[in-house]
Amino acid sequence: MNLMRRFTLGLCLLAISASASAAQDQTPRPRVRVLSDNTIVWRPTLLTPAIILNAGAVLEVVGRRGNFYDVLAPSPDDPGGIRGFVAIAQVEHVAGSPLPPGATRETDALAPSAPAQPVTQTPAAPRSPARTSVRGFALAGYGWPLAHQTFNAVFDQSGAFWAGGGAEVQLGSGLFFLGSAQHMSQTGERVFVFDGVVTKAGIADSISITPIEATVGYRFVRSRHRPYVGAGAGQFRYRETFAFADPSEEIRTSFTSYHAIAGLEWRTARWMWTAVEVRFTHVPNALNGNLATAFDEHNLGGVETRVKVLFGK
Amino acid sequence: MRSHGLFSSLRSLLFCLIVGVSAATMSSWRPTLAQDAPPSLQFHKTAADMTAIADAVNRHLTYVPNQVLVKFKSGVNQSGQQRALMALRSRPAASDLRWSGDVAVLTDASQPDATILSAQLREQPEVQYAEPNYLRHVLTTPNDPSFSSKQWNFQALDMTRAWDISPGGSDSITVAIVDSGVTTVNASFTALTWNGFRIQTITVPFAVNPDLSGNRLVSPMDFCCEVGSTVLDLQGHGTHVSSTVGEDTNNSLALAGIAYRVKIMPVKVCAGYWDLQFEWSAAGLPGFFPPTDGSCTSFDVAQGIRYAADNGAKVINLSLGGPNASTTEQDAITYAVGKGVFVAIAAGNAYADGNATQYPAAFAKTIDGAMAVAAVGRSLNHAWYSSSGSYVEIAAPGGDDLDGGESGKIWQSTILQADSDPNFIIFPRFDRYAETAFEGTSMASPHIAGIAALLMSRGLTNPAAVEAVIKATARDLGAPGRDDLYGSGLVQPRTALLGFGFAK
Repeated sequence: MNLMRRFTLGLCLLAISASASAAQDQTPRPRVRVLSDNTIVWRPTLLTPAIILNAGAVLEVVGRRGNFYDVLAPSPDDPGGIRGFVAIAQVEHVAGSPLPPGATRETDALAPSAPAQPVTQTPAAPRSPARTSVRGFALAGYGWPLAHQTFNAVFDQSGAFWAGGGAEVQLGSGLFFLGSAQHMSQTGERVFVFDGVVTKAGIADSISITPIEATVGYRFVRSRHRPYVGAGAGQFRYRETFAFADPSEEIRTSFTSYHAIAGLEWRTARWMWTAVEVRFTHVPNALNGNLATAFDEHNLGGVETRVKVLFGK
Repeated sequence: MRSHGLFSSLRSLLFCLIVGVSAATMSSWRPTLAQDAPPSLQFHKTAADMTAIADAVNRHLTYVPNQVLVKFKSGVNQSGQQRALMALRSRPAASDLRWSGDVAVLTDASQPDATILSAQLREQPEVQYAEPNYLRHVLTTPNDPSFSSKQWNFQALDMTRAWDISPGGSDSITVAIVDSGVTTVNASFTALTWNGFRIQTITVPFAVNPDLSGNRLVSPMDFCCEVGSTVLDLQGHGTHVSSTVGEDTNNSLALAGIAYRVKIMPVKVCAGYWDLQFEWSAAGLPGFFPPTDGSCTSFDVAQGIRYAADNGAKVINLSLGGPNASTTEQDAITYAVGKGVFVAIAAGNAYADGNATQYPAAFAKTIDGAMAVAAVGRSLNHAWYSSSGSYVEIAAPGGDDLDGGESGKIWQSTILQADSDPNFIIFPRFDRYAETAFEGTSMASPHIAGIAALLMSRGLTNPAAVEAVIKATARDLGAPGRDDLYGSGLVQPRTALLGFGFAK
């Protein structure tokens, strides 16, 4: 009895399957035509070509994955055709056949929802696999401080040169994480200030500033030139000493800083990139001495333009 | 209050003993004096002037009884001045007025109350202001000499490290000591004085402070006493003050001064007891002048301030004051500051005596470039005598005998006090110097004057900027922030000289 039931159920399933298959065979498939010679139909792994076709070849569309059609391509070796994937941008809809999946009008087949990878490139997966890279960099820059009157008073100039370096981790998604350190040192003269008039006190005054920062950013992929933006926080390590100072009078302190960057980088060699970058830093309440009070300048941050040379892929 | 008779007798009896003892035992220094025949001291005051001053001393008046200072409105000519003067009972001639700048001093013997005189003149449309010729007093309490060499005040101010930055200042800076004088000559003069029985001519020796190099004394002027360019200190106050400002330092002699390389301009506007006694006798008046620690008129003070400003001083020290506001003095200080001169003014010693507002110190509050200076003792606490008020701007060591006794006072070199103490001496001498302890805001003020001179030596030429730096770098004392006892706090010369760094 049990055996009989199983046999009957098996027959029923076979019958359903056969009728469905027949019905499927009877429905015409969407068809597309190859637009240019040497169009590659990729194997399902998308790593190796299945067949290379010339313009005019007609393919049956059996499905869609992202920017690719799942197609049956004619093959001289296989009468049933060869299964593979072709970029939507490289084919056009054959009039009279049903629309391929995802296309609602005649033109949709010719205008994929996302730009296809150029056929000459190694095709990206329908969703790009995340590729992580690490790069190191060196930088040099020139900064214009927000406390420009204070800088002018002590150093006779309202800017300073910076140098430093760091490393970044870039994710395939465009996100990157960056750690950097840079340094600046200047020697000027202590001053008296009254009613905006600066009088030199004749005493050498030296400062050094070493910002150590972490940045999160996003790099926009635009072929060879890649703009990027980022923001982060860090610490401004500050040191000041002067002639006649005893050790207890030296200032060694640090201030919390916040910054934002924007830049553009481009490849200059296989393993080397160059970038120009603008950086704005905000270091509130760092300057609180008489000079800062006289000029009402308390922010140690400013704007800096810098050039970076990055090494890595 | 001592009686005059007791005072005279005591001096006569003790004279020989004291002179002998002091000469034998006092550790003092005296330069070699010129041996030429001594000239006479020349005075300009009349017997009436001296009588008026003696009257003021005896009656404890704060002004010369029959004198007023008058300033006429701009554009009033001599006939207009004469019209105003005709309002007075005595109808004085305008040509008899004695002028200093645009201020005239009027003497009117017919009206001994200067407050009435000045009120009558103020009623006249030609007069901008008229006020009594106020008497100022040097703001210190002289004491017997001692020989301690410990200057706690300079240690408290960290002067040794301040001198690392500015060793004594620059000789291009001149500090005017508008005070009882700083002796500028090594010479003897003859003078008339009362010997207890009659007026007698005596020879009085003077000497320059051996711890204040003579070549550092510039443009001396006497406005009150032996008028002229020879200045003699017959009291010791001005010399003590000048020593705090700039006594020679690092010369293995006596004590140190703050700005020991700057020039000192002795401007004498205050008469010491012996100035008054000699003038008294020179006027033919018998007897001893009433006991007093001396006095200065606001007219002479104003003259001295203007003279100093016009003759190259960059800093003026005013260790004097009184309870009456004098527009003449205020104008003079404003004039000086306008010419780039910083003015340090003693805040007054009236704290324990009613704490009346003191002038000209109180003017400093409204003049950027002039500072009223309070005093602290050895523990850097408010000195018992130091006047307080909203006009006090800064504090400096002035000494406090209640905070360390004699050693808690300010020690500097000045004329040997035992040589001219009117309580014991009838024939004084002013040619010997000793380390001497005084206390008072008179002693605090020259600390600020000296520090201002150091700052100006570093190129800070604007007096308002000097005041701002001194205030900004002061060490807060007392109630947080500015207060009436200490002003902005205790002056910090090293911090001030360091100026402002980038972050601190």
